Amino acid sequence: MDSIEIEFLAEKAPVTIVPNFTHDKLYLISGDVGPFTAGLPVEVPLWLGINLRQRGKCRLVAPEWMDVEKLTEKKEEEKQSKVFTQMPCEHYLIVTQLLLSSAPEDIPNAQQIKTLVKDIWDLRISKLRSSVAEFIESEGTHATLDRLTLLEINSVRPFLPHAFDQLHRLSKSAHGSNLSQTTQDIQY
Amino acid sequence: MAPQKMRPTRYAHFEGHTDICYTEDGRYIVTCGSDGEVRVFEGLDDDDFKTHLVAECASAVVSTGTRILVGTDNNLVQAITLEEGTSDGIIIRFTAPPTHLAVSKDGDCVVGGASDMTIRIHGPAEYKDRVLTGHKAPILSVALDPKGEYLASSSCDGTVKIWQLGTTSIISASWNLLPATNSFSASSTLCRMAWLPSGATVCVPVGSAVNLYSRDDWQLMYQLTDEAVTETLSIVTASPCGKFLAASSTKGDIVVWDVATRGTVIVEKHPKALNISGLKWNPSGKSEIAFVDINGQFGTVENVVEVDYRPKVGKENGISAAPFPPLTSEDYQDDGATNQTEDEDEDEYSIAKIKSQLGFADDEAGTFLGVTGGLHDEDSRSSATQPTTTTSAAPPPQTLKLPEPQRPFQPGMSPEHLIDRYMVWNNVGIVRQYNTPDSKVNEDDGSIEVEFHDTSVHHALHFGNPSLFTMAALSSQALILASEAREEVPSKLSVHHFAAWGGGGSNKEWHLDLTPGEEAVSVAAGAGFVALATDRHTLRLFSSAGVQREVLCAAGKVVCIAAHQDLLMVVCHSGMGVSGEQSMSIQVLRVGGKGGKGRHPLPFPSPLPLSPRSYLAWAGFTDEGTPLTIDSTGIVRMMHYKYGYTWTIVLDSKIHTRGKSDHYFLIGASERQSNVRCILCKGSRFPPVLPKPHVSILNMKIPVCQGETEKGELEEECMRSSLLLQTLTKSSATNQSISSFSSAEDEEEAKHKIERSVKEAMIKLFALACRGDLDARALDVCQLMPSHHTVGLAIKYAAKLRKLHLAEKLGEVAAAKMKEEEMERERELEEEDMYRYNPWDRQARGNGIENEDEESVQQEEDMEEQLEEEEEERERQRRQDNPLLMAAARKRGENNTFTTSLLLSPATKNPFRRSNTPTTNTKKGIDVIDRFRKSQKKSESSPVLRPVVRKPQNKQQQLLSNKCKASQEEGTSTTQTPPESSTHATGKENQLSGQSITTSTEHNNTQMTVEPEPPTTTTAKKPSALLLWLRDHREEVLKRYPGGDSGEESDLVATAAMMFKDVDASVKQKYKNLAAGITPTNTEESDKKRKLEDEDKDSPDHKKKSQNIVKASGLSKLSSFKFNKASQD
Repeated sequence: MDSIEIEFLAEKAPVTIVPNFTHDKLYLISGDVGPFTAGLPVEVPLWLGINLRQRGKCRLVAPEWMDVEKLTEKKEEEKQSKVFTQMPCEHYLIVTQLLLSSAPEDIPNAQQIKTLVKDIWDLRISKLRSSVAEFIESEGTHATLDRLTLLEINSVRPFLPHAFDQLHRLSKSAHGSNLSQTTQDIQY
Repeated sequence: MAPQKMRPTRYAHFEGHTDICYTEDGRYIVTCGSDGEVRVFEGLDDDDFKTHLVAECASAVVSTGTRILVGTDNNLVQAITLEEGTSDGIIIRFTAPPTHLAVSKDGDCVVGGASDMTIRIHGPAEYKDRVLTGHKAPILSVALDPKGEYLASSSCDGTVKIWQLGTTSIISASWNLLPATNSFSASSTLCRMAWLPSGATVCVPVGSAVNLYSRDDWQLMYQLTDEAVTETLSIVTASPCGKFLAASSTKGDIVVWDVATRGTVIVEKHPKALNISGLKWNPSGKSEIAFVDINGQFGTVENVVEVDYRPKVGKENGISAAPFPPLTSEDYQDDGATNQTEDEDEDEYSIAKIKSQLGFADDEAGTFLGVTGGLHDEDSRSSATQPTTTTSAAPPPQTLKLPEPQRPFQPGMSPEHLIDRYMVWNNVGIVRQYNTPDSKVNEDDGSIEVEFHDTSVHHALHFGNPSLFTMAALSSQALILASEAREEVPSKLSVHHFAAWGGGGSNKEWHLDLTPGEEAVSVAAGAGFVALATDRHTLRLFSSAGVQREVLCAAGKVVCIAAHQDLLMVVCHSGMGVSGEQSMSIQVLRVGGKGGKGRHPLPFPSPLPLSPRSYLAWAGFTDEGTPLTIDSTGIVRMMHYKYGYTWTIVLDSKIHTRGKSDHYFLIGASERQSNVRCILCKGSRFPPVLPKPHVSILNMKIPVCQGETEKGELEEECMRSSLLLQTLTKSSATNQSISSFSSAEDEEEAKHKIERSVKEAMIKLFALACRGDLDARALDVCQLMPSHHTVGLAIKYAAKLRKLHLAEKLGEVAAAKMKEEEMERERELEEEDMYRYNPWDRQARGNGIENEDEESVQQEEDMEEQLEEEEEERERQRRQDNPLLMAAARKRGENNTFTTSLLLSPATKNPFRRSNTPTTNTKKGIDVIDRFRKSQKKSESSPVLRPVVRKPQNKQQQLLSNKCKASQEEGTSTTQTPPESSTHATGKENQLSGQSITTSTEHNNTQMTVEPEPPTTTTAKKPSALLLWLRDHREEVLKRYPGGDSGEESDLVATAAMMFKDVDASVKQKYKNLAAGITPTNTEESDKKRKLEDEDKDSPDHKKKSQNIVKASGLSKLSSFKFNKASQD
């Protein structure tokens, strides 16, 4: 899956906005949105929120988890834990990215949040890499990785199976050549 | 005021004896412990504390100036500097480790007690210690008299001695109070004593009590105890104000007494119930106690007492300037000096308590509680324009007990003393005021920013604030600003009228100076008017564009005013409240328009309800225009018009807050959506300007008892919905369009939705009571039901549950309700006649009623379905339980018929009998009427007819129809069918019905009048064909079936039906045409109804007959079905 596709999926995540206009319900394919009342928070899909924000029609409200304290905690937890921890949002990186790029002034401590989320991402990716490395070294045949988010899985997906294929091929050929070697030895 | 609380303890030292002290300014807490370290904390949360290593083990610590004196295990009392921790000399040398230190206030005299049984007094001037020997065991504690004359000491030998400081050996008093031990560490008590700051009393912890001895004569004055504390009290410490004593026990209890009243103020428990080895009261004004335990844990108890230490002067100065002005020790002395006698002490205490309970200690609350008016006014406004107000009379001590009347405020504002504040935050927008700290001096610095929630109302505004406006009101039409009067500058009013036009746009604003001596206290913006309340208790009304319209008199000192559309709310003080409560009145007026009775929603000032000892935090209107308030305890109240001018609680916002100091700042409310818009303010009452807070939406919840039970929930829903219904009815009655709803239809729709929810909740409540066999309660529920329709449903339900007695009783209720409604309707109609000159009004109302009719029918169907399902469920369960019932269920059709006939039998005194008369029709008929009436309405103006016609219809329909939704639907679907096709082969039809009945038990249950015929039949007409035929051929029928004469009429009809079936098709057609002809001749069904009604009155016989016929028509089907079935079998 492409990161663009994942972003597309992530844009369906609900986000709270405070509109500065009043409008009736919008009947969208994915469901009804609204009604919008100026000054009152309403939950909309992320794509709509960002779109409205770009047009200056609303103010985005940072999701509950997008809070320096909570993210610091999460980061600490991620750091302490050997396995992956549950993320507060399936598309945390994308949501953060989108929100921060479209409305940094709506999110308190935007810079810090950006850093924190990036840190968490790095932690998880390095965890993922190291576990992949461990997996290969231990020559295991299967492994489970729980609580990986879509984007994280897809960060290794195109490459890892391919690499395994290559490895497999290499080991197979090595094995084969070994075999042929031995047969040759016997022959001699 | 924040509640007292025990903070979680934190690690300070290793396990072992630990001591604690505050620095003189109360800023730092110094601890020392068995790890030999001294730590300096800046409050409990300080993670960056300083650690100074002094020795292997430190046992006592005391602070003086910038130095800390520490008793260490190398038998020294060592001085170190607070900042760096570098050694600053050795103060006292003992021959054993010191156990306790004390230092005089000026730091000149240091006293130490040690395990070597000596007490050494160190005067820095002399460089020579005086040694007090007299105790026969290690010293436990020493305490210096604040006046410097005496020294109290306790020792492990069990004695407590008072020494004269000037000498070395004269003992003023000695008591043997304590259990004797031989070492400091083995002693069960530390016996840390305390002098009250006045020096008049020395307090000694003895057992589980604290003994208080008077000075000089050393007599035991009294003991302080608390039943909650049974362990040995080991430490006593006095508050810096001298009004409280805190003591801690060996099991970790901390108890605080009020010295004057000798009552316990609080009892706190150490989280781990550990022996507390050090306890100190914060010497600054902060009401905080710090303690350490023998595990080296350190903790504090905050807000120990609800008292404001600030001396009077400080208090009044402090309110608007700084929430917690730093206090100096002089203040305390002042305090002590001014409050020497105990009486005054008590006064002071009580007023402080009242203040704190009123939320005075909260920083911002000062804005609301004006307190001792004159002084405050002078201070905060730097102007003495109104020293004549009643409250400004210098309050003598006696009157101090009276509560301060709340200061005027602007609903939706945050306090004026803040640098950045909200002038108003309401449904329309936000007005922020940015001050610079000295903007009072430098006029150019401040600015005002207006932001509209809906940017289509107006673009955001930003302008300077040279006039020092402090009050603002915002509506979608205008922004109103007002300033307080200053020296030489009169109070000013400025209005930006957004809708103004012409003149090149420059004249959108208008300004007005109030006459000198008059000052604006509150402003409000309504639709087309501007209201301004002044300190002269006047209310000035302007038009939006600046025409002075009225000068009204407020009923008292104005607290706030608010406006919504054409309504104006005025809240005034109406007198002095009793026992710390505010006494306010509220008035809601309608501005403009024509005069007339009932024009003003609340024409007279009526008392404004508040929670005990609270003040008004916000007042305004809901979106629907109902007055709404929230008080400082977070209770949201709404006007309850049904009970005169009473109020009801719609929400206790405190249940949504996590911390006790969190509050909701109200912005608005919508009754329709049944929610309240507010901002959660953590740890304060007002939202901060930055970061911009978010609005949260709380659902209204009337605080019913046992609200979590099913019954409670339903009751709450009932109450809330009927409250809304009432509002909606009122608004439509006053013909007031509600802005949020565009059209009248929308409004009607909303109303019906609510009506429905009321009914639903009622029915559920009824069902709940029925299921619980609480018949009397069920009856009560029915009496509360909004209409007889709903009661009808309840009757059905009761009948189903075989609660015939209940059903009968309900019948009475329904009849009474019906009568009532009828009268109501008539009255309404009369009124309508009166208002006839207003055609719009009439039309709107007429429509409303019609809609209601249809709607209610629809609703009932739905609800019936609901009930049906419920019943079904029950039935199934019952059947499973009881095999006998299963058999009964099989015969349920009969049973039900029986029930119905019982209910309807002429013999029973049934209040619905009359209403049964015009029966013949099922739903379809009603529909026709309704539809017809709608069209007729416009042409014909005989409105009196309407209620009479309608009611029996519905009534009967409900009652009679032992309902089956399916049948009704069919009825509806076939309304338009031409009569020719009405009867096809009846036998087939019977078969059909028989089949459907055998397949579904539900149909068994149905009223057979409307059997599932081929869709061509019109149920209403068919029986009439049969009946007509029967009327003519009665003799013949009787001849053929002589039994029918004596038997039930129903049998007769049944047989007649059989015969009719067999008669010649042409005859049938004739009668059918005849029957069909009846309808066209009475082209309007209502006429027919009327006729029936008339007949009703004229000929009781006929009535009876028609009734019987109706019933018969149902029963005939049933019997024919039975017959059919039997023959099939």
